[in-house]
Amino acid sequence: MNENIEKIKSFSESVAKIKAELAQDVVGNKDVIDSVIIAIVAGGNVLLEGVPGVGKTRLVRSLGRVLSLPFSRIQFTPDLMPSDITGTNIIEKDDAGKLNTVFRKGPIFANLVLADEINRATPKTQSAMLEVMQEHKVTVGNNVYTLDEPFFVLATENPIEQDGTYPLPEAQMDRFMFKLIMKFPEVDELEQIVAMTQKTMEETANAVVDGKAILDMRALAATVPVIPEIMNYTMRLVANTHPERTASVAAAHKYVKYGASPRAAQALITAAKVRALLKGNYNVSYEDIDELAFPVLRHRIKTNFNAGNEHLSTDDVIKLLIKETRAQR
Amino acid sequence: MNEGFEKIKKRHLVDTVIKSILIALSLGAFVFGAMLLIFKLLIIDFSPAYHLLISVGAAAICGVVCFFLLHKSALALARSLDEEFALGEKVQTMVRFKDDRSDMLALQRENAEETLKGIKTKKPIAKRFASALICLALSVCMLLPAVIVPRGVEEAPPPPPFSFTEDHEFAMNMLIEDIESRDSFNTETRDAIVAELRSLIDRLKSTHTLDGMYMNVIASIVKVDALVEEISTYKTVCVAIDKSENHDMKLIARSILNLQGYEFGGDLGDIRENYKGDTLDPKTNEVILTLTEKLSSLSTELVTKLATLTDYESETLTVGLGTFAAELASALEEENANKQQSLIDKAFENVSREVGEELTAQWNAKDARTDVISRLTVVFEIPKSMIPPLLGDALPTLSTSEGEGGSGDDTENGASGGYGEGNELFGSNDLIYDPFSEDGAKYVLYGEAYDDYYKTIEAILLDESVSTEAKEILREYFRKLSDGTKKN
Repeated sequence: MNENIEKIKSFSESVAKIKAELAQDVVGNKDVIDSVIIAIVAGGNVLLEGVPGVGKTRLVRSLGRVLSLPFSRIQFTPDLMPSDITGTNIIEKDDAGKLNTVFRKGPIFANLVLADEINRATPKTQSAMLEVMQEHKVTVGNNVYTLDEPFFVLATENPIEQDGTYPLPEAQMDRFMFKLIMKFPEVDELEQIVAMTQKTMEETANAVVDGKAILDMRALAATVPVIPEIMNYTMRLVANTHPERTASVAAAHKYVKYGASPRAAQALITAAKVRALLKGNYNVSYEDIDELAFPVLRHRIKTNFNAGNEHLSTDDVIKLLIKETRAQR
Repeated sequence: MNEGFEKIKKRHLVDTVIKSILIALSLGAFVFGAMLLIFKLLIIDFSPAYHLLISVGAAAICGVVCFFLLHKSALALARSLDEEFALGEKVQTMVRFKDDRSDMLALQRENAEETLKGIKTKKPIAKRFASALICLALSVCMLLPAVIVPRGVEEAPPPPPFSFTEDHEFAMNMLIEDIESRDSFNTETRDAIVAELRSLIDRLKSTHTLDGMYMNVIASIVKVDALVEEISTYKTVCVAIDKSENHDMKLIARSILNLQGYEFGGDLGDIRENYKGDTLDPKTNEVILTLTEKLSSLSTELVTKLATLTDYESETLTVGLGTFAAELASALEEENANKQQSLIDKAFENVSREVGEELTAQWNAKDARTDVISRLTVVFEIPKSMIPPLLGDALPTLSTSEGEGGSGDDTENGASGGYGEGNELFGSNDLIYDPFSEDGAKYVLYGEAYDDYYKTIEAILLDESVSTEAKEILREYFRKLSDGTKKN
């Protein structure tokens, strides 16, 4: 029992170590780093949106080093085929000269996968990610291959270059636990980035935890208590994103085209538990839910013309939904 | 575990009880003050016991309601702590999962307790009991003016009006004419009665309230009663001769009263029977001798007793009886039996005539008095209960003993209270109607009724609508009743 308690207590210490190591390679965007760590521990995938050069790839590579996990990168292009991701059966001659069909694993067979510019691939290729991201399995022909845990996909998309892109379908968007926005660094941060890369372009972060530790942390996070009031609040928040519900708040009716799926509620609770531990708490608070509502909901709800007309971003609408749902208490 | 929270819970419970009590007391005082103020301003009489009962009841109900409204459950208390100190739902989680023994919850509780220790949950008394203190201040604000504000003065209802109508005047004139037409009693008294009635008419013309009318009429009734009583001597004479031990003397006294209409039994006829000629047979000298002695004794005593009534020595009744005594004495000196009998008969005949005439005159005066009183009572609808005990209604106190007789003190009617002084008491133990008795209207002894009447009349005398003259008559009347003076 004491060992377990020690593990719980060391959770935030481990996270702090991870963050400290990541800080050596990634400058700024601390919130994004926190959210990525939360998503990894919670077992979710992250869609990272940001202009080129803000350190998206570096973040994942560095994360792979810190977590001592195999890392692979897939650059999504319009001609990328699903088999380029999942792998394919090839005919191989064995030592006896006999021809055999052998499955050659694709880059998806890693613990950390960077799906760079995911929206540049065709929907067919994008959909190859669905099963992997949700079930952590790959089906090729009649064979099903299970991926090693922890498995984490970090996809990036460029918000600027829209030509020749294929917007992600809602079903795939829903597979991402978080959609994070990487901001352009501040001047001082930019200075640090430049200074850092003058020495070496390689990541310098050291491994502080391993995959097993991540799985242990995930198991611990699952035991974090959530009081019924917060559970109810979370469910209401998600339900309130649906404008077709008459009971939904006014902001939903006014600004939302369609709302979040039940996966959003699952993601919110799961992520909130990890966030609580990350913050050194042993219970989920309203603040955890509210903070995580933005990365969890922003890619799951679609705002309507009214929001655009009033220059309201999705985050602004989420803020209104939170406010009105809180008022319902 | 949860020691810090348990402490907070206990403090909350104590605070809630104290707050509830303070608010209950405040409400009780507020209700008390509000009721007091309302009743004072609206001049409503309300039993202090009910007043107190309602206030205490309101306070008790308020106390219970306050307790249930203010008392928070453990979860509600945890919620308020989390919200007030932004504790990130730590306390709520601790309370919600208090029975969970997992490691995570153990740490959570520990973390929540640590957090609770780090914050100062105990507030200053003024802040903790702010609402109760405000209630208390409000109740004081209500109670103070309620106590200070004087009770409103109830406006007395206007006195019932009275106006002297033509019917009244006609009835009064008829009465005056009737009295003037009576010539069989003392002229001065008759004129005085008529003058009083005329005065009453004048007074009533300027009287505009019913009470004033009552007082004026009652004053006149009392005046007429006193005027008639002034010329009435039979009571005094009766008492004087009743004091004799002589049986015949008592018979004379009763005879006088009988003539006045009072039933006391006995008649002069009894005496006369004792002195019939048959009993004066010479052969029965002893009897004659005895009877002669009796007659002699009667005449002597009659003279002696009447001699004490110095104020009445020239009065017809006294003179008549004195003459009777003298004639008896004279008859007894006659040696001739027949002549003696004749003289005795004549003495009886004379006394019957002279005394009878006088008593008839007095009776007529009494009749006039009764007539005046009854007609005034009817014409002005005077309630019988308002008419005080009248002198004319009081009886002399006579011995009822048929044999030896006795002193006034031994008489059956008693010897205290009433009209007169010493042994000369009139009707002190007779029952009369007393409407002003403390126990309600009832028949009481004359003496007891006097005090009640006097108190009532004294209060009425303060009424400005009663004329000074009428007031003086009433005062004089009761002064006479109280000091027993028969004559001014």
